[in-house]
This record gives sequence, structure tokens and C-alpha cells, in this order.
Amino acid sequence: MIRLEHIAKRFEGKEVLKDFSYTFEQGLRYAVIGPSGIGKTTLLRLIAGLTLPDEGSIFRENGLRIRMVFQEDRLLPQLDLLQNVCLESGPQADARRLLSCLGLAAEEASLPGELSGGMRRRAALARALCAKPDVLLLDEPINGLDEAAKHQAFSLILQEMRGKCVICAAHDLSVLESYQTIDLTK
Amino acid sequence: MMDSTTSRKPLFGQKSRLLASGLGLLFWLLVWELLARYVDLSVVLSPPKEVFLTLFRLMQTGAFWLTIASSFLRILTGFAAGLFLGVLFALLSFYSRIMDALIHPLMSVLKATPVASFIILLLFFSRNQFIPGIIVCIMVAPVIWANGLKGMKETDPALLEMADVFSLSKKWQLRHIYGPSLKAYLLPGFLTALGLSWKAGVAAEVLAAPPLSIGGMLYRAKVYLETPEMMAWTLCVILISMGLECLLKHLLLLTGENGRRPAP
Repeated sequence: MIRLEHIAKRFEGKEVLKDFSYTFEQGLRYAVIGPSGIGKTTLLRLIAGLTLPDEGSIFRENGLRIRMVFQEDRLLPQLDLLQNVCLESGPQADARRLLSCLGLAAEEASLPGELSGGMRRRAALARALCAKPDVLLLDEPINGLDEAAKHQAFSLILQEMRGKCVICAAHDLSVLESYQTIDLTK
Repeated sequence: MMDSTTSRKPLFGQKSRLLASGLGLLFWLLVWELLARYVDLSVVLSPPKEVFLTLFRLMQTGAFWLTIASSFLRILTGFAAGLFLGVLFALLSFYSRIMDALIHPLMSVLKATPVASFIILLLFFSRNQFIPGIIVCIMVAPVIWANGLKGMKETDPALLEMADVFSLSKKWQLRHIYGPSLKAYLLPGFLTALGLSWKAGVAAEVLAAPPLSIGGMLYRAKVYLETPEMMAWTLCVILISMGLECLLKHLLLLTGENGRRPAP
């Protein structure tokens, strides 16, 4: 589905990824692990097409719907939560259901600035899931979430992304037990 | 231990600020009065009382209001056209390098050229009554273009990346991502351009002298050495310009308070 071949990526002379090859398959979940600065975010950005490799090639299946939860929430400050989750074309009923599953039903009319960091994080996840992606990229999605919210978020991801591909970069592996591990230090 | 926070009170209250403004105004009126007494020739410098009385007398005539309305319409039409062109050029400059290469030097020339040169040039090509509007448009467009383009360029790149990943249309991006940034930069430009448009518009009216115009009245008063009348018309322009700016600021404040404000 997504194949990376001999990828290399450098930032200001520093090599972040070197000769990295991997094939991501439909229906599988991956946990990208490694210490900070090892290239987890870079790998996700390469897959999303937000950055180009210095060397190597990336092959994506045609028409693949890739969506991402960034490290920052990147919600639009002037739109309420429901509008942020729906964006341009997401169905409102689906957005409401997802917000409700993530414990944000009462906040759908709130602006992001009126919410806590954890709430904004969950809203960013709801936005990505509402877009019905084939591949969901998660960059440290559980930062700022308490234990209960973490489990709530990951069980929703499991439910919504059944049969699809999830690639998650995270430090905390407690919720990623069923994920195939890609250790960038090796 | 409890955390305590106290709101910081402004150094001066609204009443104190009003009082300070009033005293400042009074001081300059006094300077004007003293200067007028020193010159002691109304044709050169009329005293404040005479100017205010002349303005009061003018205000009682229908021609005064017709002149104001006529100039107002001319200048605001030019302002609206400048606003439209400024935003259009900003969008074209932002989205197309070729268009930017064409628009950039044009705007630089428009900004650097003295307004009088344009007025004199236009006197050869256009009917006198259109010149003030065209001049205002020429003065306003570069200010709006520069601010608009800066607003577009300063748009949060993180939100643009998000829009890219979520395949949001350009139209949606323009409305929800570029729009708020554009608005934040356009509003100060809008206020600057409004003040500029009155100065340039009346200057154009003085040289082009279209019928029923404040500039035309200024010119007539100067020719007939009616200094109190000339100063009364000048005062009138200042009051209109300040009034419009106040009104606009108030309206913007109301929109900000009633509308949904962006998060910090």
C-alpha cells in the first residue's frame, strides 16, 4: 500500500533517516518508536507527502486517503469544535458521534481556545477519524491525555480504523501493544 | 498556598483620558488664538472664533451639505475601488509569481509618485469630476495591496499543512485560513488608507475643481482671500476624517465583541 525504498533525509547536514525501507500494509497497525530526534515525525511527514526525501522513493497506492493527527492540534481558532471536525465535507452526524465517543459532546459549540489541551487533542483525533482515512498517521497523539482518555482514544481508533492502516509515533507504548513495532534506532 | 491574581488596572481611566485629550485640544486652540493675535491679520491667519463662526454659518446653508455629500461620495467611491483593487492585486501577487512581478513595480511606483503629479497628468485625460475618485483609488490600492499581501504571507504554515493533508479546497482555505490572517493585516491598512483618501481626495479636488466639492470651495476661498472660510472648510475635512475613523474603529470593536474571537 505504501512502500518506502532506501529513504534518506537530512536537516542542515544532520542525517535523520538513512537508507530506510519499509512497506506498510492495509489492515495493519504500526508503532514507530525511538527517542526524540530520531526521525519519527519526519517519517510520518514523508508518508503524508508533506516533505520529500533527499534520497530514495516513496510509492503510494493510487487514491489513498491519508490523514494525520499532528503533534500540535492545528485546530482553526475561529471555528467551533464541530466545524473543526467536519472541516469542508465531513458529515455532521459522524462528527457529533466521534466527539461524543471522545467525551466532547457538550463542547461541540466551543472554540478551541476555550478548551483544555487534552480536549483539543481529542478534537484533533476526531477530525482525522471523521475524514474516513485509509491511512491514519498519529504523531504523539496521547500527549496531554490522562489514562482514561488514552484508552478511550485508542479503542475508538481501533473501532474506526478496522481493516485500515494506522501508523503511530509515540513514546508511551502502553496503549500500542497490538501494534507492529518499527524501531528507528535499529 | 493559594494562588492569587489581580487584574492590572490601566494607569488612566476613560474619564481621565478624555479630560487629558480635552486639555490638549484646549492648549492648541490657545496657541492658535495667540498666533492669530500676534499676526493680527485675519487674511493670513484667522482666529479660532472667527473660523468656528464661519463654519457655523456655512452649515446653515444647503450648498454646504450638498458639497459635503458630493465630496463624500466621490472620495468613498475611490476608496471602495482602491480597496477592491488592493485586495485583488494582493491575491494575484500571492498566487502568481508572474503577476507579482508585474504588480510589484507598479505598486512601488504608485507609492513613490507625488499625488500632485498624478492629478496634473489626469487633468489631460479625465473629466474633472472623476479625478478625485481616481486619485483616491491610486492612493488606497498600494496600501491595501501591501497589507493584504503581508497578511497572506504571514498565514500560519502549520494550518496550511493541515489543509494540505486534509485536501481542503483553495476556496475553503481562502475563507477559513487565509481570511482571518488577511483580516488582521487589512484592518490597520484600512484605517491608514481612509485617512489618506481624504487628504488625497481633497487635494485632487483643489487642482481639478469639480463642481460641488470641498476642494473646489477651498480653492475659491483662497482665490478670494476668504481665509476664515478656507480654514472652516479645512476644519470640516479634519472633522469628517476623524469622525469616520472613530466610527470605523467603533464598528470594528463592536464586530470583535459580538463576533467569535480567535483563541489566544
